Amino acid sequence: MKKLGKLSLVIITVLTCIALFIIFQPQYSTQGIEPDYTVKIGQLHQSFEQNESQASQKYIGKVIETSGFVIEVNKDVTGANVLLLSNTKNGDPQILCTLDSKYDNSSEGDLKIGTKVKVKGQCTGMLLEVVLKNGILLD
Amino acid sequence: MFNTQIEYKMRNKLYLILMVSSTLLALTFSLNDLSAQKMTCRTGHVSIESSNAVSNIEADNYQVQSTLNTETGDVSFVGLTKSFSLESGALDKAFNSQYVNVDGYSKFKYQGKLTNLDEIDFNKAGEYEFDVIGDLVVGESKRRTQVIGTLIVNSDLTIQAYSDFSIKIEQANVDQINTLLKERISESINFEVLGVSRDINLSVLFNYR
Repeated sequence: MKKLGKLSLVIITVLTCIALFIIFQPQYSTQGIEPDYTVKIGQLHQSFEQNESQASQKYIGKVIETSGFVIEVNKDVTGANVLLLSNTKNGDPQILCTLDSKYDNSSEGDLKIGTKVKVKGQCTGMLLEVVLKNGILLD
Repeated sequence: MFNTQIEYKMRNKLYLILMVSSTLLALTFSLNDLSAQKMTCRTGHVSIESSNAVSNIEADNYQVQSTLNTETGDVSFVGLTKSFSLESGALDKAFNSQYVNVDGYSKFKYQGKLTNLDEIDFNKAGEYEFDVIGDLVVGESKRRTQVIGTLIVNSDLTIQAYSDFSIKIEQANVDQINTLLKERISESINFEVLGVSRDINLSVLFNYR
């Protein structure tokens, strides 16, 4: 009887730990994840412009690493930095990348208009620009 | 009659300068009017909440792009399904995994029109109520919606618009969504936790400039 009580306690503890692990698991992040593709910004944008369906199948959900010039810096409603990037200093925006606030240690200088930055983020598709979420600024 | 030839030339030059300046001025004003008509937002927020017997499912998308035409009252927004982040970390990781593919459902769109445009002064800072009727399109399914919300014209004439509303989706659509979830999500995830109900609460927020 005593053994059964101990066993129940162990089972309950294990189940509670699993439940807590699931409930308090952090959200998805690209931090520490190797990029699936390292592509030039113009090439990525062109892939979607030429054949959106094909590019979507290839890139959506994948972690992309690319670099480009900062055209504009906005903030979304959570206060996260949203970068518009292009392959030239004065070009049209080709990538919209929302930086993951948890890993965004960028200083004002890093996000100056015209600065070249390297980013990594998860591709979610194309609107006016190719969209990356959970973005991280790379050195 | 002009006294001298020089005076005649100077007067002609003055007329020319006046004509060019007034044309430029008129062009500048008309360009300003045009740009003021169509306002855009690239970082709109759409939040979805649905509950089932086990838990609430909350998802947020902060990358929704929207336009508002202050002249015609046309309003539209478009977002990407994969841009949603789920509140629950475990579900978010599952949603962002390779198991969930969104082929055919990669975008959602809304196209509507403000029905009380005459009650809103986009050139005067203040808070206004708006009424919009439009179509929400997800995949091949289109749904007519009428929504009431709040529109704030800021002192710099940028605009914030937000609304909370509920939609009740047909049982057939609920079954379709749940079947899709079941098909596209790993079997290791407890499906009971993911199924959606007929009631879905939506809230949207756009900052236009």
